[in-house]
Amino acid sequence: MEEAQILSELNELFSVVLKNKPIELSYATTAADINGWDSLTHMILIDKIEKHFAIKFKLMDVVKFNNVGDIVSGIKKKVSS
Amino acid sequence: MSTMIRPATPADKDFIITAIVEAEKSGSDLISYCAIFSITEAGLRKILGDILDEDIKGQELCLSNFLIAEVDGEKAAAISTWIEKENGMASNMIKSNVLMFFIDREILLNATPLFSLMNEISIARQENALQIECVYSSEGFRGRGLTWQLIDEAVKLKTKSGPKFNKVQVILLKNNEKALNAYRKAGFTVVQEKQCADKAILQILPGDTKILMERNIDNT
Repeated sequence: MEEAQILSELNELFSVVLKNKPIELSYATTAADINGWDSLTHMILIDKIEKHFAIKFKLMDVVKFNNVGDIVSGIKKKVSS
Repeated sequence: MSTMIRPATPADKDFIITAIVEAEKSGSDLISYCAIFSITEAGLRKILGDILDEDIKGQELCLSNFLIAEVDGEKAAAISTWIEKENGMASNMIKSNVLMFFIDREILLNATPLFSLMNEISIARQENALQIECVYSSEGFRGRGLTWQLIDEAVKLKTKSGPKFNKVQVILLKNNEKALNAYRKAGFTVVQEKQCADKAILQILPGDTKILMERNIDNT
């Protein structure tokens, strides 16, 4: 799965969870850049991402997710393994 | 009386769990984690033990973030400190990630309305400020200034080893007047206050208002 495709699907997931359209994520986007991306919605987002991509992150993966690019890389690694 | 301040080791795990639980109670009988996730104190202690084993840095529930004060060889007080966003991510986000892996996912998601209440009074910590959490002194050792010795030692250690910082911050409940007054005496001032309008918050927290206090540090 290409990173651009993952980013596009993440964009849709974020929009649904944060009810905050339009959201335009980039690889450099962090929680500080998105209205409503807080510690609560972060948990919901990670849950939705895991369900959507049918993957399961490890603790050590998610604690290193500093921005959307890290999440995209984490998803890519999981779906291709 | 001889006092020694030292970094925590895995052998301190039970004492640290007690520190976290008692700090959560904030002088009451209510433990917010138990109220939010409908778990017993024993269940919480087990989860905290598992979290401490992982030693995830950048947030308070990290064993190596703790300092222990020993008085005549007896564990007397503890404190957790870290530099906010030292590795880029806010401590509350790291803690959310950690909780996701140790609390049953369904319980966690069912608790989101309660988390929303908590979010109403959530106060952002300042990047690169030294953070204080889980401040605890055993009953027989209160009033001896151990907390201030722990904070001073944390400032010294982080000044030597971490990035430059110029303030120390602590978040507490406003109704914890004893702690609030003690921090004031130690030079901390209130810089932010947030109150939850929904009194249902009192079912999960011992107070409805959080305050951020800070003290400047001359680290030039």
